[in-house]
Amino acid sequence: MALDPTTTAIVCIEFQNEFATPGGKLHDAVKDVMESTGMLEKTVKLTEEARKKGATVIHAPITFSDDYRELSPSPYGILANVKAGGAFKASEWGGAICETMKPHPDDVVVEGKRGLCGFASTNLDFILRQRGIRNVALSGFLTNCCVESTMRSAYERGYNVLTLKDCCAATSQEQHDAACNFTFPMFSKPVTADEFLQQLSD
Amino acid sequence: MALNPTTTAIVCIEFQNEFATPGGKLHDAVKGVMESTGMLEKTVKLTEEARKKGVTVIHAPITFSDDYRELSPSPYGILASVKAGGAFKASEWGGAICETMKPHPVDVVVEGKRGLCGFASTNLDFILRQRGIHNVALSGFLTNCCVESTMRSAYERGYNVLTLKDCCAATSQEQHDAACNYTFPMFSKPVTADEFLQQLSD
Repeated sequence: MALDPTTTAIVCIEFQNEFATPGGKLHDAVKDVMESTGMLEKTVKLTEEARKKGATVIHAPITFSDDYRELSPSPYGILANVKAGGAFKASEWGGAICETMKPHPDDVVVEGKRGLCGFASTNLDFILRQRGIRNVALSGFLTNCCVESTMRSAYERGYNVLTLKDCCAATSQEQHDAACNFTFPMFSKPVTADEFLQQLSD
Repeated sequence: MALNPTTTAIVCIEFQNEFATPGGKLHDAVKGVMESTGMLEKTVKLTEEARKKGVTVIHAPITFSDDYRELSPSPYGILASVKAGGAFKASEWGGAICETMKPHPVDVVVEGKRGLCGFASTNLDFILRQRGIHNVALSGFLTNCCVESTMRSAYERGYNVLTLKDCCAATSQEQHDAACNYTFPMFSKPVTADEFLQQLSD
């Protein structure tokens, strides 16, 4: 089933130093699954090939003010961990997109992301609709947190959602596999980077 | 941490014959976990007690036209399964809320649900905000599908989200446990029905 590149986007969720680079506050937690999937190298290579074919590459980083003023004074759940750990500050190296995934001049960088879903607090949906994008392929961190929330939301919004299983990482292989096997097939078409490239027409 | 009943709601997701009653098209798929959790009896009992304390009980059923005109002509993912199976038609017994969970006169019945997230296609958020509800406790089917999507969305929208682990069911124990253990703690405070009742002030 050929995907028209002009109506296709790859959304790269949180390829930031905090996750993707040694020294990042959450890198140790995800490095094993990063290695088992080869997700970083694969996403770099995939986006390069996809750009040549005319697909849109979109970056969706998450960042906060130094004092996390965007959040509740006393958050709970995953955002409490982010705040307690001082992670993803816009002002710090940890919050920057990692070197190998730095946006190219033609890429889109989504603004606003302060929560987990790529749509909820951002301009992603506006941009996708303006550009007439119909097929949305998802990659990044964490398989079962931000990627999964974005997937569920994209599905409800009527997009043709593909999840790039080998371009995601979680804090354990078990959690990564549970998402890929249990919930990704409910809300998307799970594919590998290679399978996705094959579906992209020239 | 006491919950004020007047700002608390229990959302009962898809307690419909299709899932909850022998003869329902999806009952065999969920009856194993229904039994291991005792979720149906527990939710009936919990909502009865909660109503006495002044909590709002909200029902969120999913229904479709006989020809599934609300959906894409060729859906994929979980909605494709629903359409192919002819499940949750508004006109059929399968789509009706099951007997033991029939809404009480003071309950709220959310309208519009055609997708998985309890917010996305419904009037749920409007009603919660109008009524000044801050604490949202979730129950129902499926643990890792509609309940989880609703949970993720409620968390992004700033609600104090509680997930009633023993008031949910999925199509396998593995999937139910994966949701309760991996993702529920990220986006909510997972509690049992009893723990929730204890937190409700009088």
